[in-house]
Amino acid sequence: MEKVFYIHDKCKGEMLKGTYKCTTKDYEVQDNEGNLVFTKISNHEIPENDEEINTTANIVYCTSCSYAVETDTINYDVEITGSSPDNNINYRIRYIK
Amino acid sequence: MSSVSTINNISIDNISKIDNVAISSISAIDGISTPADNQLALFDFEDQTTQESQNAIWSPSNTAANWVNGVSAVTDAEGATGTNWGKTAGLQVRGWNCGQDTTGSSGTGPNGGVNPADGTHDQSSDGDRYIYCEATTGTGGVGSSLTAANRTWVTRTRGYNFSTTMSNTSLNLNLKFWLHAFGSQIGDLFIYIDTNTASNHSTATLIQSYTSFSGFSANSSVWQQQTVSLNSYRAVDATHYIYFVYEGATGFRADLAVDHVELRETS
Repeated sequence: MEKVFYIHDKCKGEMLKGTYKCTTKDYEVQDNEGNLVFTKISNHEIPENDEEINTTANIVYCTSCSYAVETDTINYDVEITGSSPDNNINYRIRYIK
Repeated sequence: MSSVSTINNISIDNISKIDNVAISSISAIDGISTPADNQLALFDFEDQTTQESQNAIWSPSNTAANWVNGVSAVTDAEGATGTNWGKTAGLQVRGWNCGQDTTGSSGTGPNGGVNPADGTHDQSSDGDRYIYCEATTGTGGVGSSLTAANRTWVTRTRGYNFSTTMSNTSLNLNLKFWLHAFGSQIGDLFIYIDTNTASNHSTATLIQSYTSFSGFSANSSVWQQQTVSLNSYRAVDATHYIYFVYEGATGFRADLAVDHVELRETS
């Protein structure tokens, strides 16, 4: 089994997987359950019928600061690997720029 | 006499210091001249106030105080609705925005400002800002809300009389800047030059076109440095303004960005 952890290199906060969504009101960062974590831009005033409304992207977001990056663009230059004492779990810790 | 090109097989272009002295400050080594490489101007936008709303534009200030952004940089070319640059009929002008880290829309824009050492993305407080064309449907602070397909984005630099700014007008004069053009609906970038403080497609001279891009497959794709020769203008005794004009975007995934704009004279 492998577990991957993401760390925001800038502030060292843990980054979690979530969804970035353009709603009728805000650009929202949502967790994997669809719950609002924070808004990137509030009250954007995009017309309700615009093609951008309801578009989404898979992201990782920082739990320490308001930074989110799309997961298909993850760029990390440091990866630390390890394993549990029983060697049943391999860990990867990736630092996200 | 020819100048120094390599030291210990390392190109002098890749050497920043010798004995802790900046290479740009060294005119000769053992009596052999080093190549001239003088930065006449640099705009990295780090002291600018960010403006990432599609209903507003960047207000140049501080080191970019004499830039002009949006309709104020344009002499209306069509007399149609709004202000038109005139390269493509019917497109209304708006200004560029100033971003930090990512832009608002998904699937477009950089992850941060450029690190000019290698083109990677910089999210530090002294490197994360850049100017870009916000392609989300909006007003740009003027008139009605329009989609990207109906827009031309215009901004221009401050003026330079290169004939008096350059240390030697026989040196090569280049505009250099870093470009990020990721997005499935990205448009085309055009560089113009003119002696007029406000201009349009008919009045200004088009000196470079970027109508296809490669290597921009993700937000994290590295920035690419561009070079535009200004040699035709280095000996002209007049103040010139450089216009960055973007159009042809087909939707919101079209946030083209520019950073680290330089004027350099080199041998």
